[in-house]
Amino acid sequence: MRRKTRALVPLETAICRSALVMTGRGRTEFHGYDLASQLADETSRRFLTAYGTLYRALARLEQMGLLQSRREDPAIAARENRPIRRLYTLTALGEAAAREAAGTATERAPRRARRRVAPA
Amino acid sequence: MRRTPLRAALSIVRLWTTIYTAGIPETLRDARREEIESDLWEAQHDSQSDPIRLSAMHVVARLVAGIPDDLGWRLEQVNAMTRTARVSALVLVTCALVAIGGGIASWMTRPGSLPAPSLRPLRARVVYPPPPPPAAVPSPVDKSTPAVPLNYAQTSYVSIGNMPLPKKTKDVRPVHPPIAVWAGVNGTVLVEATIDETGRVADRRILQSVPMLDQSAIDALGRWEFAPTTVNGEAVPVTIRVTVDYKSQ
Repeated sequence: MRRKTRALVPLETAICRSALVMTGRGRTEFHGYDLASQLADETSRRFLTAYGTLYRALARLEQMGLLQSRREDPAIAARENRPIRRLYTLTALGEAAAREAAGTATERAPRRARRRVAPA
Repeated sequence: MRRTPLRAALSIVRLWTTIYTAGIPETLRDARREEIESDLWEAQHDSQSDPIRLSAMHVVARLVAGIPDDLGWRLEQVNAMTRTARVSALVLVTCALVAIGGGIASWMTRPGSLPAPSLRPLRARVVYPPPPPPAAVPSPVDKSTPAVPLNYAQTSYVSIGNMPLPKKTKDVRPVHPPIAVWAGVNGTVLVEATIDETGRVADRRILQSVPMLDQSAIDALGRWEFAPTTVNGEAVPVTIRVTVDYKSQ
């Protein structure tokens, strides 16, 4: 399916928002599993986003310039006896997208609430 | 805790990743494989995590739900390739899908693995016949040896750069993955490994790849140990080139 280059799907918006939350907590770099956990925790889901869906979305966000990534220094991974991580950071563009999405969600929420309480 | 289904699920994820990243540019391929490997490791070592996220079913569900995106991502990479490469990539993935489907089906229907879907009431219990009495002569085979006999690869190694050949003190034979045996995938994987001053394998690089077999070779080599190699009485790191030969028997 072809999409407009700049159009974000809900998962991509959610990833930017999760990245923004983690950045706000002082974590400027995070790996894919961090994001998957944060996404699941925010929505109180027990299941994590599928591998393929998550990493394809991360690749798209990086292409769009909303995330940046770098390969971790292999020496660090070797010292800690674990696989090498790819570490992501939220760019200024990504932060703007996350804030815009959060603002849009806030604006929409009261309208939905009014519709729910309106008499049939 | 039953770890075998989880280990099997992790192997399936690794195998699938190896398959759908096969034949695409090396940089992208390695980056994706590393990310998945890292994700699997983090999930297993996340002490804060919901225990359900460590279950085999969760791992398999994450794999299966992401397959359309894996294939979509692959197609995006393949679009940049030549027509011949595209056709061969399509054939490869189709064969792999058939192989992995067969492998999962046979794994799930094997007694002692994940319960197969059943129409029995939920409370019904599957009763397996009692195990046969132990043989009179104790078997030298380790208890962890699976019921299905495994095929192992032949290995040999040489040192690189006029360095003395390090002496192996712990050998782990690479397993020929059953799904690869089933699919008739044989071949030789060449791996270059760096042995550090203490005799541990510090680094491994694939020089000649056979997609379904690389992970097995890398896993086994990572568990090898060597006596420290000394030059003029001083322990030094040494690089070796390992030939791992997989042949179905």
